[in-house]
Amino acid sequence: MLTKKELLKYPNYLIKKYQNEIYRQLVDYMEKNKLSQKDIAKKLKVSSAYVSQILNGNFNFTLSKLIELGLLMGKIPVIEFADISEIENEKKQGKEKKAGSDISDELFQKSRKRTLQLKEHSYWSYTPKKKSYNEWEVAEKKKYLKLKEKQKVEARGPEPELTKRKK
Amino acid sequence: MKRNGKWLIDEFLEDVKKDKNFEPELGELYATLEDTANGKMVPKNQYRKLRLSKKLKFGAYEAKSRHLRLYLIHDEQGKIIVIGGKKTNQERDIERLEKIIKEFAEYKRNQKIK
Repeated sequence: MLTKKELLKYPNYLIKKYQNEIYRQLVDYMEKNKLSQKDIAKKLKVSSAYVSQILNGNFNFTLSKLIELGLLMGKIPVIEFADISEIENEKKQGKEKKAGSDISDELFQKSRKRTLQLKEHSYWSYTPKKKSYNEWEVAEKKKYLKLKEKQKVEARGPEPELTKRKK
Repeated sequence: MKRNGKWLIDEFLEDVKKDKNFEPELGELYATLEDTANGKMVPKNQYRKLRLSKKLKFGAYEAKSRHLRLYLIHDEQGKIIVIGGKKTNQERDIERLEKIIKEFAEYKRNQKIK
């Protein structure tokens, strides 16, 4: 296996890291603002193929485009140069570089929440812990019957008002 | 994963390191693996789940660069990098991966019995 020291010598390693970071930032921005690829392309005044390249993790364009993209998302790319030895030491101590980690964490939490919610609501993944299967089946049937009754009542419409008989 | 005292992935890495055209792509593969290991999102075309037969007990994943592929198995503890290969040999490599998964499942079963 390759060590961190060896990896840092490959320019492609760092390029891919930044490309993926730009991809994550853009996806997050698009999700938050509910924008499509075409919308982003219009705003940047580029073709939608250009945007799809970014979304495929192939962003390798000019510095000016990077800054334009950042400004579109309401962010400024911060470029810093650090010694390789410093980064190696950071990694050894188990520190993560801060750039973009918050957003990816957020996305990770979001996706986790979503899967948990889906698990709660989906019929097939639901497995009762305390109740036995039969009990659970009976409860489900009761729920179903209640729902049916409700639907019937709704279909009937409001009940007619009672009027007193005249003597 | 080891076979005859040698890591399976090392065979691939040694081969690639000899070839100067493919060597830089190793960096790309490691970058995507590092991101996925840290729970970060990665474009679909770089890392995906392989659709193998449903009989296999472990899920398989593939990390991709232009010409190279890394194949992983999803174990209970995490993901294991098993083998690597070139794009041209993809089909053969996937067949090899299926065999390895079957062997691994047997090995696990035997361990549980013991």
